[in-house]
Amino acid sequence: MKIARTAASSAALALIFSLTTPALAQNGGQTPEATQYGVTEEPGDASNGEAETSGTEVEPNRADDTGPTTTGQDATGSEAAQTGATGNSGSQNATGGSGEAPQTPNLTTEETQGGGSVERPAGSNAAEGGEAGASGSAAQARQRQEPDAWMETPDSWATFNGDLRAQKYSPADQITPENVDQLEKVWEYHTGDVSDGSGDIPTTVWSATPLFVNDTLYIGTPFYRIIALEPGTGKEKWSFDPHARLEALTQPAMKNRGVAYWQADEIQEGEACQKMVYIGTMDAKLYGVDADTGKPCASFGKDGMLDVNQWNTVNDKWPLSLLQAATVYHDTLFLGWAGKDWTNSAAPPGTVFALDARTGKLKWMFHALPNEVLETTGTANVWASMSIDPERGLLYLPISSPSPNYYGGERKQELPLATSVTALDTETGQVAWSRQLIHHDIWDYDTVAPPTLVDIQKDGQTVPALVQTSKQGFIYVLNRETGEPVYPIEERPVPASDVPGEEASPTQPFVDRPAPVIGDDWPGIDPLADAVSFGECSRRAEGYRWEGRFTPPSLQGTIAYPPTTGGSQWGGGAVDPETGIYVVNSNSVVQIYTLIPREEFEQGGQEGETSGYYAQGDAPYAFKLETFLNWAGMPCWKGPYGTIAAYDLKTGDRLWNEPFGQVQKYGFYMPESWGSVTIGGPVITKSGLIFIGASMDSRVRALDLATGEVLWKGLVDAPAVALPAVYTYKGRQYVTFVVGGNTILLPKVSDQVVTFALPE
Amino acid sequence: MSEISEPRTAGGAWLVVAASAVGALVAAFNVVDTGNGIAWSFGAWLVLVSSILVVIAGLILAWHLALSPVSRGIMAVLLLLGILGTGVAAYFLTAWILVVAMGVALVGWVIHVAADPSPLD
Repeated sequence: MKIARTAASSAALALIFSLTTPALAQNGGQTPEATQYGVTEEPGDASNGEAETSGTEVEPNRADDTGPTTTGQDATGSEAAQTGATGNSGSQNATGGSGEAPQTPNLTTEETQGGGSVERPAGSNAAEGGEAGASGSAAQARQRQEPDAWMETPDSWATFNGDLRAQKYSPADQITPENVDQLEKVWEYHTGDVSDGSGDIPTTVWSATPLFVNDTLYIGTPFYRIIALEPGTGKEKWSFDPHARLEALTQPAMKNRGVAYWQADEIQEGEACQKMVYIGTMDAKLYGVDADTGKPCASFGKDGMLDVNQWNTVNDKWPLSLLQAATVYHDTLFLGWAGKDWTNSAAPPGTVFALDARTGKLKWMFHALPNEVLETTGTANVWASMSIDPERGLLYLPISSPSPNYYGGERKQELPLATSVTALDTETGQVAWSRQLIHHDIWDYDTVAPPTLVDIQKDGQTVPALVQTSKQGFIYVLNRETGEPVYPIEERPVPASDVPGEEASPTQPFVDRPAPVIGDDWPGIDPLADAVSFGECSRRAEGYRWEGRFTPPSLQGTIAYPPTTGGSQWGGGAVDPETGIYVVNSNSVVQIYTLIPREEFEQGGQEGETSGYYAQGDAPYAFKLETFLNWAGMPCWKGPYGTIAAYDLKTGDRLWNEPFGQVQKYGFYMPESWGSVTIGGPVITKSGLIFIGASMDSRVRALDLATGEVLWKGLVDAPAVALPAVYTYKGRQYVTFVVGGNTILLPKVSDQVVTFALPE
Repeated sequence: MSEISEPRTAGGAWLVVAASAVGALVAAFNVVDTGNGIAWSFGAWLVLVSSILVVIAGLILAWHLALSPVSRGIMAVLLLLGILGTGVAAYFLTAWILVVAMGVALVGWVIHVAADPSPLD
């Protein structure tokens, strides 16, 4: 029976791993048949009947043709919004005029550490601060600051990661390991914003953490609507529809990772837009609406819309997609963007924007790459969420790899900020410190998760630490004030490239403690898959190059372990700040990296955008990415394919490591010991529970933090790939999951929002 | 003069029919019950079809439509494969009622093979 089950399980896994490959790269690296930005399109393709010409989108400050609409209970909201906006703009004249798009024609540029630079409007206060920061003693120059009080309340879940420190921790303790099995669904809501890709609208990938703040649950949708719900019942308060273009301009799917919330320190009663909610779109527009009514804030951008693409001026081959919710700190929004680093070599260079939360005016703009390299490379952007130390005023960026992803022969310069974790001064945008995690990245090891900030007790001292997970499977624990390692990071020799033109870095940073989320060696050939393929797996493995971690891509094919799928993905980890227990889910996938000479690639008729092939612009080599499957589609490597682990940050010890989730294919569930590839991340509660969706079996789970044992499972409509929100409203603890699905895991999408609580 | 009489009731086969009919109903419900984790999936359709085939095979045996020993033997083997296959598939679908139904059908099959009369008895 066990053999039969294993055989059946292997067969059912057949096609899964053909789907779990490039799409886990930068925001889903699967080569999309996306509309080429700047190319005129036939009108009518967009949803809502909008006739759009994408070629005009590069012009900044273009008004939306249709204009946003709000629906909801508050019929008087419009007037309030207008009145409030006027009043608000009046008080903000020093930084921007009401109703005017925040053009920033006069920017000054300063260099910062690591070859980066910061641009800001000439004469801004930040510019003066920037000089101070650049003078050297940045740490001393930064004054201790206070977090936003509204963000620190224990009952709320006010940011994408729960708080600015990305701890993904709730002090709620009503639901415990002892009673969690009594959890029941208290309400569910369907947004209607879902597509399986069969129609005109690309398939949806919905990873939006719900926010609970202002006694309201705020949700962003993959059609870029904002919906405000009553947290206890799920009843809709209002919704805002920007009538966004529903086209896969940079990503293969319509994606959204939530909304951001801001509120003024001192609320002016009766004035609108003292509390605002923001959502970005695929085509680089950022909308700001009143949090109580959903009405656009006229003082923000132009009538509530800011065209961020106005700052996309270098290698602007596609728009700066605003899929990840902004990070809010005091009166500033910090905003990264997503693009595609597999299509072009020269691409928009990585930038992070600091914007005035009220007006959208640019405060500063950080560039991770020096200008002199931009003819042959780009990206090194921040597409994942960020974290902030609210007391120290430091913004922590997970910076991705430079383009093109898999060949660096034309970007051999040192790019110290690429594939790094970098701390910026929130006031000035200057680099406080940076630590490169991969030198000369040719594996697409984007730093993808926000570093988790936590103080840990080690050797009798309190260490202000930062925990950074990674695709490469290492867990870096650093001092977040200095960037110095808390646990050793060792430069070790790694294999050289044998591809003409490429020069792989001779060393890479290694971390042994905490233990990497996956092993040093690839898992080896799965006997069943090998038998089914009559030795195909073994024969192919012998022909590939594998010399351990960081074996460079090659012409004959390189076993990549971990590959672009990770390791750990954008969900990152969660920490209990009281105990220092850190939890992270991860994947164990083997992929094959093959470089293809340009001439051969073009003769082969590849257009550079077919599945598994990456043009990489005009680099000498294109690239083929394939998951290591046999003819039947079974994974050639041994499982488990996904795990979840807990670490004690005080000692660096791994406390437990368990297969997580179940593979599901054609409806069939595979053995739990196989685990599941996961997308999403965990949340920890004070009572010792871990709440997590992430797996492909459409289950949401509660685990015992002490042991990793699954204590409760709930069935939802699709894989819940978003972080859950845990909050307390009117004395009752709720856990809300956004259930959007992700075609990487399963061809199953949903628009479900579901909330669980203990019986009253 | 020999007397032609109705064959005696094949109780085991009828048990197979009853259990697999219940199974087919459950499988049909599983196909359309959106939110159960397997609705509209290939696996859900597969066990629905296989359950119906088991019902048909059971009826053939119960109604003594397969007269020759060879055809009855083949039908019994196919029925067993259908029951086991459906049961295993239901197990992987976590369709527990269907698993139980196939378990009962398996008992009926054993009774049929061991105790049911042949059509000419």
